[in-house]
Amino acid sequence: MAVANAEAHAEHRPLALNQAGLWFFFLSETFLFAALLSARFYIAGFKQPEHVNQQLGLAITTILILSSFTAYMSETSIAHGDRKGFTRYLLLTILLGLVFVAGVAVEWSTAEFRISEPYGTAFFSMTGLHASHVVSGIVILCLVLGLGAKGRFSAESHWGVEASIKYWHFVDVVWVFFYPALYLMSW
Amino acid sequence: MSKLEETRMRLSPAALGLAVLAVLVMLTVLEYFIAIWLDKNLPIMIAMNVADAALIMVFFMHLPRLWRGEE
Repeated sequence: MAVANAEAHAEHRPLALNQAGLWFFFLSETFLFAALLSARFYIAGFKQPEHVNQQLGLAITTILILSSFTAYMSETSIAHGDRKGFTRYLLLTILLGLVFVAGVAVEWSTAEFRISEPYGTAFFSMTGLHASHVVSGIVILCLVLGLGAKGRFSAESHWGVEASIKYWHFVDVVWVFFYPALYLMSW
Repeated sequence: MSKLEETRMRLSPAALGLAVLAVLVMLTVLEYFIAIWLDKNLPIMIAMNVADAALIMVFFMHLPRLWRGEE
């Protein structure tokens, strides 16, 4: 009974309030990632690392950006009632996410530095935490895909799709800052 | 109506998404080459990262909707 009441209440909650709640969640996550980002420069300095695979870094970053576009297209498709487009673009997003994780795994297995080194500590903790968010994003998108297949979402009601795809974009925004901090920046 | 909203209205969602994607990829590749060419690149990198993040948040995450209270 309590669960039914809570669900009914959630259905009638203004969408703007859900949006605000999601953005506050992103804000709280931002503090976590910002702490790691500042720690990277504190423990490893501002010198550009020499033993990182620059080409792989660029490739996985481009893949994640591309996945943000397919996620956007998936959300746009369901907002216009195009279920096929929604499924196709969501599947592509999941696939690109998996390729990104595979790229990080290759980077980890071929890294020429150890976790005990200052840069290694920063690199493995930042990419590890970020990759765990990518993996959780893939799980969430798979759940949304399953619910979509059951006809749960429509052009009028697709908050679940919107929220999960916003989360995916947020993970992309984090990487936009992590990538140069780990691979490119110097001072 | 702001210029940003006018642009949104003019372009179809797919065209808008493709345009944002093209700019994001260009900025990322540019970052890569700036890092190769320029030694002390921190301020430029930060500026480019902020631009990248702003593009994603405004066009893909629809941040302005928060202020409009749009459903």
